[in-house]
Amino acid sequence: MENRLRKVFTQSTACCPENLSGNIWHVIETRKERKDRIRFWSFAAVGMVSFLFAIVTFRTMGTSFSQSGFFEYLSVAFSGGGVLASSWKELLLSLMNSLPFTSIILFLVPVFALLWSLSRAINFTKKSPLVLSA
Amino acid sequence: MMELTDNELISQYLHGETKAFKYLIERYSSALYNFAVRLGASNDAADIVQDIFIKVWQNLKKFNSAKASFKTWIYTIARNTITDYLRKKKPALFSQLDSEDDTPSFEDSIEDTALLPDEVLEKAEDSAFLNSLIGGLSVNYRTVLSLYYDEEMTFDEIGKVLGKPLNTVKSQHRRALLELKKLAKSHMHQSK
Repeated sequence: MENRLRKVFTQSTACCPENLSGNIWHVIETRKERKDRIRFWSFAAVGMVSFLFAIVTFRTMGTSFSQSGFFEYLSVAFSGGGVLASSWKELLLSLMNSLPFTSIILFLVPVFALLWSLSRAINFTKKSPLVLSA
Repeated sequence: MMELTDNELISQYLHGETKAFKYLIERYSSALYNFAVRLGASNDAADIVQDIFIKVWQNLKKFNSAKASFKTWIYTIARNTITDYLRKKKPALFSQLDSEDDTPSFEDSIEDTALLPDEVLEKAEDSAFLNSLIGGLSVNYRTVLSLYYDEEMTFDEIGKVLGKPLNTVKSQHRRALLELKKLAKSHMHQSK
């Protein structure tokens, strides 16, 4: 009975519309392109914002370096005269203490964000070049 | 590429070979279309199949071949999509889906060698007659019969698709056949 019923079921299979799979594939491709485009421009926007933040934080970092006395310690280290040999430990400690860590971190965060978003955006253009078209 | 297994095609798609998904669509679209029609969504079957594939495409990364086969997974999505569609379309009629008792009855445990006698099967070879009979069954019964006879799934696979234990599926299959027999008899009496 089972085989016969299976045969009966198979015989009464509904006719699939012509090119159904082609139409579905077209819809999915269109959605994929749209999704890729949105993601590409999102990454590009993140990249641009990160770039602006990087410029601002770079300036802040420069000011912090000059205010902290880091460059003075550094010039002492390269001035010669045996200072480096005699008190390198103290000099190294002073250099470390004068480093503006907060400014450096504030600068590195947008730099990493910029690099990450750029790499993602480049990957998208490689995978689907159509993301750049209108 | 068509001779590759489902898992191989999925793996290729996830590694950037976008065309691999097209082959999966070609492999399953007509069967899913038939499944949607069997379950009573004949008017919008093409749109439903499209929705099913969009869901599959969106969730393909979540597919775990260790848990279930792709066929079982896609039919689970299909069943849920069609159920949602039917629920929106006919809320009153669809309430029967939830009220069906899943526990096997005494009637189910009795061996019946002729669930569908030859007389009924001969008549059922007329596809219009069979489709009208299936249309009279509840969505649950239609699902079990379609997955078992059209898609040639095992009871275990059907259980995974429906999220029900093996014995419940077997019981539902048996009840579906009894119901089909009842419907066939009443149809045949009416036509005499």
